[in-house]
Amino acid sequence: MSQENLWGELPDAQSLVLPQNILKQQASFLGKMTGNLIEAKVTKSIVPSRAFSYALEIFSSALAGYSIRILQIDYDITIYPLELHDMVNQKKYGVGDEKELFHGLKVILQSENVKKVLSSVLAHAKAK
Amino acid sequence: MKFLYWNLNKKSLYNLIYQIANQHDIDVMLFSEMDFDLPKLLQALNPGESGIYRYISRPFEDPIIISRLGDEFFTMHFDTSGISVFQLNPIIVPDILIVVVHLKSKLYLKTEDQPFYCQELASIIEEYETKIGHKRTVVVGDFNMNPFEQGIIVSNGLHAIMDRSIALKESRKVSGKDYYFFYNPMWRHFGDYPEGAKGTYYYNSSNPVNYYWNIFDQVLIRPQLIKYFVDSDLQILTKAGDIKLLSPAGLPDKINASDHLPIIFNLNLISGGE
Repeated sequence: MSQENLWGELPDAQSLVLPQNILKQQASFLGKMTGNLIEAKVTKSIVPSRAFSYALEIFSSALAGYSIRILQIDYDITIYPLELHDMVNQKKYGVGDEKELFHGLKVILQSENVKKVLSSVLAHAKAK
Repeated sequence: MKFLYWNLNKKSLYNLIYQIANQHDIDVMLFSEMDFDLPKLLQALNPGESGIYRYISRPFEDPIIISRLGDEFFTMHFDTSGISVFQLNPIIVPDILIVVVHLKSKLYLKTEDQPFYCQELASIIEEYETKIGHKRTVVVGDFNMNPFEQGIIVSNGLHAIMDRSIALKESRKVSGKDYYFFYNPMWRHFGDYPEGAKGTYYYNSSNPVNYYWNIFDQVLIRPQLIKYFVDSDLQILTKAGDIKLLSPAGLPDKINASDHLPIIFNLNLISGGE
């Protein structure tokens, strides 16, 4: 029997950033920008039809236990294409690659409605 | 405890809301698509008296919550567009989890995509039921789906059924996994007999399938709350006091009221459990 390796060249895992890690990176920026008055976290969600689902939620320690889900990504083992759900503006995007994911996240996080939500949470947190 | 839910269609319906609150002795009011002056509404609701009804302040403003109970009886848990989760903690009686929804309209979302949002909603509900440690949950709002549509019925969606005796079994297994029921008491409010509302929302289209009347505004209750639910108090209102919410043609009066009819329901948390 032939001993030939049929796997060929393995892909470089280093070059692939998991989408949830991109969300975590964005989450870490928010705390720094607001002096930790508002923070963000990435939570694992359950979507029966997809293998993986993660949500970006904002919260404030001043508003104990309360959180607001901003967006969610759902994907299968191949990662892309993934679904990006804008929970604040109620829109859904099909995302083909990492570049498109960055673009979609930027559109959502800089949207007027997300800014309104952040501003309202800040006001409530400061009032506590 | 009496609840009112109404999609106001961005109309300034101060007097109508006052009439309903007054006539039906409402404790908690939940409004979607409210786009008017909140202080004016509070003035209308509290004529000559100081603050019976209060605005429950939170960062997310849809739905608006107005209640005779103060902020201290509400614990806010979660918001995202179209879904709000909070706990009502009245003194002495059992606390309940309230989920208010305003799911996306069929005008902006394909019918086949709607179940996705119900799956999401179901997973959020279960997450908070697990966090607070009970399933005394009520889901109310504008689902933009009828009680018979897939997202409301399917086991991994809201799993809301019309038969309380089945709902009282609490759950059923599908592919080896337990899925918890909701009881949906809205089913019997379809149709034109007896006299009254034929649904909560009217839409006439030229499509081959046309229901005309829909019950998009619904209340779903977990089996654990059925014993507190007062059947006769669940109403789709066609009047606010003496003021008709229907046009002379018998359709929701979009000009003087809203394109949706309000629903009211009662959870008798004091003696209902006995």
